[in-house]
Amino acid sequence: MYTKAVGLTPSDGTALTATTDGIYIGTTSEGGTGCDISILNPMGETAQSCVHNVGSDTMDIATYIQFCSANTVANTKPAISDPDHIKVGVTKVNTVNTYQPNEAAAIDNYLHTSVDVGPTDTTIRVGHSGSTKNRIVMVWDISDIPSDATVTAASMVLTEETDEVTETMTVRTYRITETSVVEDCDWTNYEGSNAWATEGGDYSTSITSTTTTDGGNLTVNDAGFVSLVQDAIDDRSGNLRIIMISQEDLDDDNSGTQRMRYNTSGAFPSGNRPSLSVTFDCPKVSRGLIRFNLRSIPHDATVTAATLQLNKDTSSWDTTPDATLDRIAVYRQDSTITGGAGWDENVTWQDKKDRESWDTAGGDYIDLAVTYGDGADGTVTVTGAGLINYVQATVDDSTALKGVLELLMISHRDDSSTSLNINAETSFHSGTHASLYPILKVDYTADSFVYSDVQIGVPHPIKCKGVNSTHTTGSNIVGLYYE
Amino acid sequence: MSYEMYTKALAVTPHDTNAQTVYDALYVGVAGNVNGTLRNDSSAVVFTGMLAGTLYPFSFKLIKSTSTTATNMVILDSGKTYS
Repeated sequence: MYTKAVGLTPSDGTALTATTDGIYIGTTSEGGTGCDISILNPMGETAQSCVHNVGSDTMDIATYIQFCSANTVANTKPAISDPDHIKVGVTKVNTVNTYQPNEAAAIDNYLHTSVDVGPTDTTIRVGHSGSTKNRIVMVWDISDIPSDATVTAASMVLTEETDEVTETMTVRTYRITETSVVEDCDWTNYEGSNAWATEGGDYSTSITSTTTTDGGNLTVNDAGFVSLVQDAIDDRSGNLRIIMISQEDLDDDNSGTQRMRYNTSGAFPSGNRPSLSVTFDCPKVSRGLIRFNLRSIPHDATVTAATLQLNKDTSSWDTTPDATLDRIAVYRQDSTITGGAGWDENVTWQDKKDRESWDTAGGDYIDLAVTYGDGADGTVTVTGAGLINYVQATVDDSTALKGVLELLMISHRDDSSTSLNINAETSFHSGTHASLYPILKVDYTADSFVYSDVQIGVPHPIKCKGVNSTHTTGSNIVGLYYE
Repeated sequence: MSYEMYTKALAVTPHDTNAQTVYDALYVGVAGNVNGTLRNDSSAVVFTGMLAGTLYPFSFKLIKSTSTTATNMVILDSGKTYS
């Protein structure tokens, strides 16, 4: 039976003259009938701990975001649409682009030692007839291939128009060094009156594609051609400018006729036009996001240990984990950075929530002290000073997000300089497998103690030396005494 | 929450100055706020949002009409003597 009552105004660290025997809370800011209340513990500083499972609180959620330059759907798809997993790492997306432009869209012509054949000739020719040399000039616009693509195969096919070879002819393909070459080029000029530095075309021999023909259609698909295509993507803004020259031409061998005529982009049927097929890989980067509501930890807590446990869905491993590279770096997101934390279920690579972008695509974060999980199968445990720092910073955070820990998980593979040759993505269990949820365990010492989900409107036998304002969502609080 | 066995009950009519019989507990029939002074206090405290149908181990000596919105209140006594 309570015989004394004192109205209490929450204030961090302010002690009452006498420890209460009970507490009554009239209202809550959380809606419903429950609230949190942070009290000064009559026992003074005590060692405490808490365990948070993703899924145990509506604010504790986990998901992932993805980016792939060759698959824009992955970039915009709400990550929460796969609630079962957190994916971290880099995989390859294989794409094939095929080009077969018509006359209006293509640049394909041939150079003739003594004749300006004009832009409308229906054939392109390579080889020689006596001292007359013919060289094919082509420009392919492959700028729609992402700049981070790795070309794994490339094949250019020219269909035969007239076979004039009597023995095997070797054809070299080089990169044209002039950047303004046009359809109406000739032996002397690459554009209008702009002359080649060397008649017959300026080209680099640093990359050479070699193929041979005994007549028929010509397929150019050797490693040199793959390198030429890669060079066009990497250093030529996606313009594959090539010149095709026969070896006899290069050797000034004028004996007889060794020449092939191929159909141009003006050919009919359209299937006879020159075609180019490029197969390439682009990295698809996945980053994990986890949020824990740590408001059960008092504001005056000193974090002594923290462990994040992630349970792998090992079936998603594509390669044997590399002990060094297949580590997971865990960064803390923070509302103190503009556009920082506070993502929701609509989070994507570009946006942290609907119509609100990250400052930096892929998620804003603070590297207080990066902390790693290793690449072993099974359970990944992240611990150490870095994670302790993140949890402590969350406890100390005085902004609106205070008490909420948001983590961004980035693979050690997630680096543009190393990502192209790998195929390693880790998938962790997330929201639907209760026993496999990500778990965060925190040990701390504190003068205060937080009671969660305290019912309003009834007295509780809670002894306290004071009520803190931080993490207290109840109001109209009354301290109760027996005497 | 443990409960005493109560042997006496008295309906409450809130009043700002008229002290009531001091009993051991308060039963609230219809939810609301109660502005009252406990047995060993000299000033009143408002208990916001007291729940309907709930017995409170609060020993009031005064329940004011001002700011009290709960109704159908009954005070209960165990018959025990407290020093």
